[in-house]
Amino acid sequence: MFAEPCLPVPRSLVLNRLILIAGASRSGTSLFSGMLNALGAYVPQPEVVPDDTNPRGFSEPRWVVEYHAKLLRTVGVQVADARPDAWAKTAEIAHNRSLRVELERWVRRQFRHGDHVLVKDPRLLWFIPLWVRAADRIATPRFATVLRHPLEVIQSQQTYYVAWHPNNRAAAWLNTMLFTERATRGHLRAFVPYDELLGDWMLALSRANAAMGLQLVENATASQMRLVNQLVDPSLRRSDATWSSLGVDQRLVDLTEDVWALFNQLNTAGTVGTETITGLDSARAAYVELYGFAETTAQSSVFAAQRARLWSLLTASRWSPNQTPLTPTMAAQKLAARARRTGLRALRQLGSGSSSDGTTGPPPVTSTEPQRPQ
Amino acid sequence: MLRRDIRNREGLEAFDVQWRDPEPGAGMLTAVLRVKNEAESLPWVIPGLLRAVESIVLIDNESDDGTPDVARQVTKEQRAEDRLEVLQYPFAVSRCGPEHLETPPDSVSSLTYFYNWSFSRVRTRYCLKWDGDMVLTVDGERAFDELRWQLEGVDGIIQIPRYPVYVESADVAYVDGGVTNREPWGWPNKASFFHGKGFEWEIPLWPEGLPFVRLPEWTCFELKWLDADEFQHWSNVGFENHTRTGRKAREWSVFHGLRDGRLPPEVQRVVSAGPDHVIDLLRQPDAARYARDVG
Repeated sequence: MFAEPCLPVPRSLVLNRLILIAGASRSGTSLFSGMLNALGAYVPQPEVVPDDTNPRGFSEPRWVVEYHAKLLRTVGVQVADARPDAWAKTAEIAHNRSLRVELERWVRRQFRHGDHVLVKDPRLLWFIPLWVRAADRIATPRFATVLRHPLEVIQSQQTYYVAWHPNNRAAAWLNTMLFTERATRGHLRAFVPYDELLGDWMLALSRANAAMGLQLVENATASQMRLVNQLVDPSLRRSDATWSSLGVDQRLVDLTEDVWALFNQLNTAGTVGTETITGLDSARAAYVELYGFAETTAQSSVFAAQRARLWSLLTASRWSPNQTPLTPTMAAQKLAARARRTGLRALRQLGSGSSSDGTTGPPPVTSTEPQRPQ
Repeated sequence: MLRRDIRNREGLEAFDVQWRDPEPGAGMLTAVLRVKNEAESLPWVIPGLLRAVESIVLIDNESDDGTPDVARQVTKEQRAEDRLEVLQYPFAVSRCGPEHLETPPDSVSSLTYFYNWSFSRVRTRYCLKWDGDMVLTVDGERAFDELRWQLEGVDGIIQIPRYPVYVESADVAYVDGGVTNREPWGWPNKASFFHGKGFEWEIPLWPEGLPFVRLPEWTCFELKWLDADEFQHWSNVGFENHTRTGRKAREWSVFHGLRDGRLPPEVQRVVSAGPDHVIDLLRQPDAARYARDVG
């Protein structure tokens, strides 16, 4: 009998730290990323340009934002999607070899600039398995989620982005936070309280640094610490919104508050007793059930909206008084054919594995969601 | 970023931080000394400072060795009582290291808060952070005297080299030339200058792009009494773990080496053969050779 050879862990996996910020937009991820960046973590360039919604910058690599946006478009998932079945839609992407290789090449290039690479994009949470696979031979991924009270997150989203109904915002918060927590279990991770980031950021950073096994705090210089201190804007304080002022349904409020309480039981490293984990599992199940109820209840509205859209699409451009009137069934068939053609085209583009250099391609991405007109 | 008044989380209004701008006629420099049990060092610290700056604000943090009385007495001997303000800060302040990290910066127990409160007492154009064991040399006094007019037209950061001096007795001391510390010790008393929290201690904050004014190599030295506990203000002494605590690790090693009767590398023994105290001897300009020879 021979002993199984013990393969040494590649040095790069020990030294290279891939920090992935996974969490809802407007939850303080830009502030946290900016602080890690100030402490020496490398944010891949070029970045998304700052705008009025985030004048201090997003710390989001433009290539990643465009890469994620393309994937989300392909599978028809929104950045803040409330549908529990959206996770199944993005799941397949992790198994797409050409997409993974494309990402792997990009990740490898970033580690030429340093041993702590920071990637932040609110879309990232949809592709956690893909990132883990892409980093397999390059770096150990570590995840950070900023915990900001959902009421403040929703209020901020309503202020800066095109308004969806606050019910949907609350549902999207539940969906993304609950499933992100589930997806990052077993990995090095940090849950960073937003209030602590504003009130005692050095302590918050130190805890997150330890939870994720980083070396940023240990190596920080006085200038870097000075920079971190200057990132916190004292006006970044809590909003005065209430659930009732936002008009969120009580069932969503109750579930959201329960989940928020569970998240607050997590320590920074997200390693807690089984009771909290069981609670989070139950909360996910409760959310899936609640969403299913809402979806089935609203089926008539969904059907009517689909038909109205389909009708307007086809009649606006094609119908003339001399044509045979278009029945809903014919319209549905035509739309399905069009969707098939569009989908095939998109898949062909994705499968080609063509490089999406951030300097070419679609117009610059400037924010995470459509913004409100100023 | 601008400093703002701070209410402490304990709700102690008398100790809220309320910043005030420089007062006309108050002068250029105030040395702010935050001290705890520095009675032994102050007789060497205060006279030189009084020759170098217009005002001294001494904040006593629960000393039990008569530090405030010594400060007043020494100042009286220099006939400068009107230039010394002694204040009490009656709170246990977290020690450097993990204890500091765990303390919220808006607590009266935080070093960050303590510093902001202390510096909010300054009324001159510039403030100097000064430790209760830092002795100005003759060269240092001269440099500060000149700075009082040289700084009139500029907002800059004053950087001062500082060497540790380990005092064994009135006749014998050791100068460590193996470590030079060039920290920022002075800055304008303006809205964009205040203290923030660092990982082990407080850090001064200022706007980017300011010029640095560097003082001569032998401007001052820091007294370390070999018969005292020089590390009591640290909550842990695992200095090797961080790049920032390299200087402390060196001090720890030299301090314990000397206590054990060993002369560590790059440390020079200085003996006063005459009637002068060895500290007075080290204040003289030619003592700079102890630092330069080995540094």
